Amino acid sequence: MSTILVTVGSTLFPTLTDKILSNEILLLFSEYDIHKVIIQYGKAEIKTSSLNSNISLDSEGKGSIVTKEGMIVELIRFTDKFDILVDQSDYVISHAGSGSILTTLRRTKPKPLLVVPNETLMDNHQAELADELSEKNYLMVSKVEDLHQILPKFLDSKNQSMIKPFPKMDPTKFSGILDELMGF
Amino acid sequence: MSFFHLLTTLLALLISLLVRIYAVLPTKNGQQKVTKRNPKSTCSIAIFLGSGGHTSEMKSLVSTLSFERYQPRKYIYCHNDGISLRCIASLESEKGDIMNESNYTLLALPRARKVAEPLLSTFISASKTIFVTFWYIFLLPLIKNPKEPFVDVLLINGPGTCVVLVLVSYIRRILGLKYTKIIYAESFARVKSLSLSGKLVKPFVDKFLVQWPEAAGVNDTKAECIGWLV
Repeated sequence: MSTILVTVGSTLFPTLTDKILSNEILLLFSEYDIHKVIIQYGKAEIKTSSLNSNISLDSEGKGSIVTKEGMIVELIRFTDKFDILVDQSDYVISHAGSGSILTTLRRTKPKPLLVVPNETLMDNHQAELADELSEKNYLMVSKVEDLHQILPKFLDSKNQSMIKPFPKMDPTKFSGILDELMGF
Repeated sequence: MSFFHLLTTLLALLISLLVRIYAVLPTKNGQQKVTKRNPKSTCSIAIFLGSGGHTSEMKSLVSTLSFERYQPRKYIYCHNDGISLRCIASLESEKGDIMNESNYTLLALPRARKVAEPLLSTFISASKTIFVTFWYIFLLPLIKNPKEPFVDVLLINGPGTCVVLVLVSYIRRILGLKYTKIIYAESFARVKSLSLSGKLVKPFVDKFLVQWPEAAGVNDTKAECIGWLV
């Protein structure tokens, strides 16, 4: 029984959120014993028809349903408590934003992270970050269209041990530079 | 005065302005004169919170600073950016002095450029930002106390609106007055190239930091990389 968190940060990424809400991916999740999916979908509009049952979202864009397989799907537009959501989840699927990536990898108990870069962005420097960090084995990367192939590898516990722990932040670096510049 | 005279006068003014700007550009890193400060003294600081990822990286950077040393703090953010406001609240409630709320202030600016805004409309919104920034960052502090700039140091990490902050901060340098030092930290997300705001402000800032060795290109002499900062 595990929980998966999907996040797009302050952006919108409907190709990812719609794909996650497709029957194909939701079924795949239930095969891996996932009982809860939390989707933070940002500025996108959710196509509620893509789910077999109707889902009603409240004024803040929040709502939830239970699928035929008994899986809880929770939708939220934004969250102030992303860090707490990460702590409550077992896996995180994220857009390639540096904020979401850093928060996930820097939690006291970091969670396995799969990054899906948004290829529709004009200047897609975020994909460079995701590729670089996946080369260093801190996370896994997938395109939206490859999710059905990559997700089984990502959710397979045997692969989790290959993920390298992310180094802690060095708090002296930036403060040292600023102190030096200001003459302290 | 004939049109020709007017034109030559304007041209002469423009050239002397450019020469002046060139003269006040920061020299290469590490070679600037830094006046030693008393370790117990304070240093006023302005922190620009861009939005989204910029804000969350800035929060990490600011969380490493001594709030006793760097005060008063001025937080500059864009109108309607609730995420940045909550970020300020969380920084100040964790690290600030609750007994002394006056050691930080807020300043909301109109956004200079929305994501993917077209050129003409960018021009109009940017002019609005420049006007408001000019008033709060240059003129008002000048009227209150001409000897001191609005803060001792300004931290920026993008996006667009931070270019306006640099522009307005430069007026005091051009006039030869005591000025605000500027430090730019390029985003952790910039692995192999600089952001547009990074490219624009690089010649003008006193410190330009990147977090990946290849971000500024191999021939760059200004950018400094000491690894990940956030």
